[in-house]
Amino acid sequence: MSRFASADGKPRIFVGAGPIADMANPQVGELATLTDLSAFLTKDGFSTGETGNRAPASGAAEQYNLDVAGSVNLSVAMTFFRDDENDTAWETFERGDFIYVVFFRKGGTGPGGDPVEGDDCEVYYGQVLDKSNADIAENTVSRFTTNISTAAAPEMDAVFGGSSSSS
Amino acid sequence: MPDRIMLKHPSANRRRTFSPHQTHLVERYLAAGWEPDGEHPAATPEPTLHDVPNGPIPTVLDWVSNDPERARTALWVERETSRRPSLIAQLERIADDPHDGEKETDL
Repeated sequence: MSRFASADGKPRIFVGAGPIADMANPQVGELATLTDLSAFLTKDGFSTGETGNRAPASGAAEQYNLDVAGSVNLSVAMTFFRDDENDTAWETFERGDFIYVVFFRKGGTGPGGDPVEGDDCEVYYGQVLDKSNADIAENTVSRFTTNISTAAAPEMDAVFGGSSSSS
Repeated sequence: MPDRIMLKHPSANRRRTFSPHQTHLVERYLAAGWEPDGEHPAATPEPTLHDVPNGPIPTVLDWVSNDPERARTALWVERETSRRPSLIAQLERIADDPHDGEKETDL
């Protein structure tokens, strides 16, 4: 077992319209169509909050409120730096676009941290809900946050490359 | 406790461990080039004496299913218990071990 830091320079994030045929096995050619926004992602800029819901299952005669597992809400939010020369991240997101997000939480194992075949990743698919500039403030670098809907169940144990398991 | 399955990354020094019920993930990683870890191969556990079914000959042969390792295990149990000659002969043939250092006596 080895613990790993969450934002020590390793995470890589790729965003774009894709498509990715098998979200469990994004292929090299598919990742190449996405935009590498790793340099724009802030240290605390990737959030995938999940909330599980409860379905009440108690009868009136029961003192304790019993429940069973219900649906799950997923909220993917990303925060990127703005850039006054190459504002790539800002320009990548348009409200209403459907996008894939491939996130290498542990980083890539290739040269310079680039992803190579066999690396673990997470794949999300959704529609851009908004992109909101952060409030201006002194001594703060400009940034924006974007949220995406959940258009498909996420693949949090995806593996990059190889042959697609869906074929 | 069932064996855990360890895989190693195709190029980096990275390993992952899976529970036996996570076969869908194991298949996914194998498809992406991961390999069974040499120190902990992703093999099924060896059969034990307690795994051999206690029943008629077809039941035992169904469990053996032409697996020499299972045949050797079932052979040991059969020699120590029921000693059914026809079953022993079939198990010996599957195990490819006709003598195994012990002479059998037909009853």
